[in-house]
This record gives sequence, C-alpha cells and structure tokens, in this order.
Amino acid sequence: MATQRVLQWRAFARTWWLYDAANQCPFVSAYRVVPYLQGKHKPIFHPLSDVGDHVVVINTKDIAMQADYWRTFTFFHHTGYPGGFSKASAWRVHEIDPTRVMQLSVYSRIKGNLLRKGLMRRLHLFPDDKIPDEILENVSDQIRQVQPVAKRLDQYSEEEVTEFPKFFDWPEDFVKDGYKRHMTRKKPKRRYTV
Amino acid sequence: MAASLVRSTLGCQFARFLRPSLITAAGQTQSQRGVKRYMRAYLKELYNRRLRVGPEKLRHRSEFMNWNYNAEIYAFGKRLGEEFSNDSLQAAFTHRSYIEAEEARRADLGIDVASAPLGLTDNSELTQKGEETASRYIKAYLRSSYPTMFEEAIVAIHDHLMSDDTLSHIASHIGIGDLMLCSDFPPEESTLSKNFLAVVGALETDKGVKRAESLVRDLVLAQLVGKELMELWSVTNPMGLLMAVLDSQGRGPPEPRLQWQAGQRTIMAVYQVGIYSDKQLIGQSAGERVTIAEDMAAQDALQRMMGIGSGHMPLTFRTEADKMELRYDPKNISAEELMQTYELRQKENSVS
Repeated sequence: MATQRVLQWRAFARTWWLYDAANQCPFVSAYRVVPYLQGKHKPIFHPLSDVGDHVVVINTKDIAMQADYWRTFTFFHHTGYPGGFSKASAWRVHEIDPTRVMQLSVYSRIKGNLLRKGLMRRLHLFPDDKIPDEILENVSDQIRQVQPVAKRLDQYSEEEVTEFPKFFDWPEDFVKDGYKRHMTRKKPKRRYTV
Repeated sequence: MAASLVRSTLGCQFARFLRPSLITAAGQTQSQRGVKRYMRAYLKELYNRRLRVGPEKLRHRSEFMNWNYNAEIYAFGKRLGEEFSNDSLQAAFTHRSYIEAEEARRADLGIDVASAPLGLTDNSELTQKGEETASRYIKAYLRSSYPTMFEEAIVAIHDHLMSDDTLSHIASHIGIGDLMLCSDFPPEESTLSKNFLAVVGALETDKGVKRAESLVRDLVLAQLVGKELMELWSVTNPMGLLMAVLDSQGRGPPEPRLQWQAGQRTIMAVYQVGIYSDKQLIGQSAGERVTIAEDMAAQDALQRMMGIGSGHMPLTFRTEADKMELRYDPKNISAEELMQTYELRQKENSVS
C-alpha cells in the first residue's frame, strides 16, 4: 500500500526543533522543551510509544536565572560510593560546563522511567550558536522562547542613551562599573563531577 | 468418544489440556473427591497418539450426520434474503465434474445411464449468464460512481473484483463451499468463484436482472469498502499522465514544490511535496526522498481528480444505490488516449 506507506512514514517522522536559550530561564525552558522530546504535541502520542522529536538548544551559555539563583541554587551529585557526595552552586556548574544547567533542568523535568535516557539523547545542547552542519540541516522548525528578551543598555545607540530623560547627573567621581564578584567562598570539599 | 474429546482440545495449550476439567455442560462446577491422578497419564497418551496419527482428514459436511441437502439449499436462499426456485438453485450448485463423476460411478455399477438419466443440469450456462450480468453491472456502477475516473482504472478494479481470489472469498463466506456438488474437495478457487456467478445467474433467471445486480452490489462491490483503489490500478508515470490531463483541461502545467522537510541528514528523512497548477494546490504527499514524494504527490493529484481521494464521498449502497442512474454504455475517458493526444500536441508544438 504505497500511499499508506508514506503516510505512516510521515506520521512517525521525527522533526528537529531549534530552541534559542539566550536570556531564558532554564527551568521554565525545560517545561517548554520536554513535551517536544516526549512527542506530546502529536495526536499519535502514547506514553509507551517512542514518538518524540529532536530538540537542538543553542546559546546555553547565555541562559538567565531568576533572582539570586546563580548563587543560591545548588546542584547535588552522588557517585553511589561512600563519601561520593558533592554539590555545587549553579554558577559553578555553569562555569564547568555551559550546557550542564540546561541539561540537568530538562533531565529533572522528565519522569524517571526507562524512556528518560533515550529522550535525553534527542536533546542536543550547544553553548553558542555554532552548530555542526549535519545537525543544523536537520532542523525544520523552532520552538517559541519562554520569556521576552529585553534589550541591554549596551545595545542602545549612544544617541538614544544620551537623549533618554534623566532626573540627575552622576557626580564625576562616582564609580559606576565597580562591581566585582567576591571570591571569599571556601574551596569545595570535592570537585563537582559530571 | 475419546477421539472427539482429543479433537476438541487439540487447539488448547498442553498444560491446560492435561488439567481435568470439572465444568459440566451446564457450565456449573461440580465437586469432585480428590484428584484422579491416572487422568493425566491417560490424556497425555491420547494427546501423543493424536500427534502421531496427525490431523484428521478434511471431510465434506455431508459426511457427518444431520445433513439435509434440500433444506440446506432452501436455507441458503433465505440467508441471502432472496427467493430462488429450487430447480435453478440446484442447477447453480451442480458442477460439470460432479455429473461426470456420478455417471462414471453408475457405469461402474453397471447401470445404463441412457435408460436411467441423472436428471441434473450443470451450472455452466448459469455461470456465463451471471458473469455477464456481474461484469456489466460492476463497470456501470463504477462509471456512475466515479464519472471522472479513467477507463483503465475502472477495468483494473473490475478485474480485481471479478478475479477468482475475490469471488472465491465471497463464495466461501456465504457457505457455497458446503453446498457445491463438484468432484474436487476441498474445492478449488476457480470452482468456487464460478459457482458464485452461477448463483447470480440463477437469481437473474428467477427474479430478473435488477435483483441479480443488487446481489452483486451487496456482495461483490462491497468488497471495495476500505480498499485503496489506487493500489488496484498501478500508474507507471503519474506525473506524465497528470501533465496530459491538465493540458487537456486547459490548465497550467503541474509544478512540484517542496512544502516541508525534516531530518535530511538522518535515515528517517521525510519530505513533503505539493503539486500546484495555476498556483492552486492539486495534490500533496510525503516520501522518504524528494523523488518518491513527488511521485506520490502526482498520484494523489490523480486520485483527487478521479474522486477517490481521502476526502471524497464513500460508495453508495443499499436503497440509495437503487436510485442511481447507471451508465452502461459510454465509456469513461481513457488515460492512454489522453497521453497520446498530449504527445501529438507536443510534437506539433515543437515542429511549429
């Protein structure tokens, strides 16, 4: 049945989606991305059938955490051996691997069943927008971002900044750009692995 | 008795078979004192004997008890909801080979066939009559159901319906196999299909063409329900035919466009091609490669033109079909003729 064959082929085809994680919360993004990995957006979805799509996430190095989460949100890990526990705050994990926070938030969003590892294999994470051609050529659509991206101050032109109405001028000896991260934390007991 | 017990339980699993059943005919469980351990060995022996002997020989229903041929023939007509005369139905079920075999048997017994005739007529005449009626009606029904369908497709569907495969399937499912009088057993497909046509012929003799045609519609044409009609008629060059058809209708040439694609660098790549004519979508389909998708899209466009696409009305049956105006004579447009005229026109254009 030739016609039915191609209809079947199309119904079970895996679409490749692109998701731009720049300035997006990784936890909210996980809620958006996971249904695509599971195939829940398809009418043929069934929890036991493997009908999920591929999702290519780019710019994971530019993800945005709300409030003070870069400092306070902690990722835990245990190797399973005695003394194998380690933990690291979000900024530290992000420093080690810029795709890791996104990966962990998607992983924890998926239910812990036998499908989880397989679904994660269809999540392709890239720290920036440099994607290999063999992956980019597969992509046929994109997923909408979860939050609007605000324009940064340095993205406005000089003219726009000067013309913006101001209540007062900063005094000349005021140091505007003096914030630096305090490195007073203790060295972690064990290096956060994987 | 034991043999029949074994036969009835052969299909069951071995372990279940060895468990003595305590359920009586009334479907109620009976209390039994203790477990009869000898039963296991006994039933196992019976089972193994049956395996050694092999399956029972296939026998005609008439070899078993409670077989009344006349009653069965009468019931056959009633099952179909038709009023047959007994003689014509009996003639429809009598095959030439049966008469020959019977005469040979009588000759062996020393009975003179000329002085004591069998009084049976075979069904060859009725078969021919039924075949003509069925064939004529199927084509007419298809032509009036699908006025834009190519004649080649109608002939292909007709051939499929009139094939031994289809007709013998119908015949065996309305119980013709048991009623047939023929020398071959189990009956061959060709014998079964001929006998079905003989039944149609018998009905025509008794009740007229209209009634016979409605039998053909209810039993034979109903086989098309849920079938992919494009599969019965294979087009070798769908795009060429589509070009010819559009040209004959004075429409623009078909223009295939890639509508959508996914996973090009994977083994699960899928492409969807749409075919447009004068910026109107006339067909679309997916495929594993662009060429396959284009071919299938052209087939889809042809399907839509012939009125057999997925969005079209199903065939009409029952009383609605009686009201249908049948087109027996004028044939539908032929795909081959269209192609030839198109090629001729192309040649003329290239010359001028």
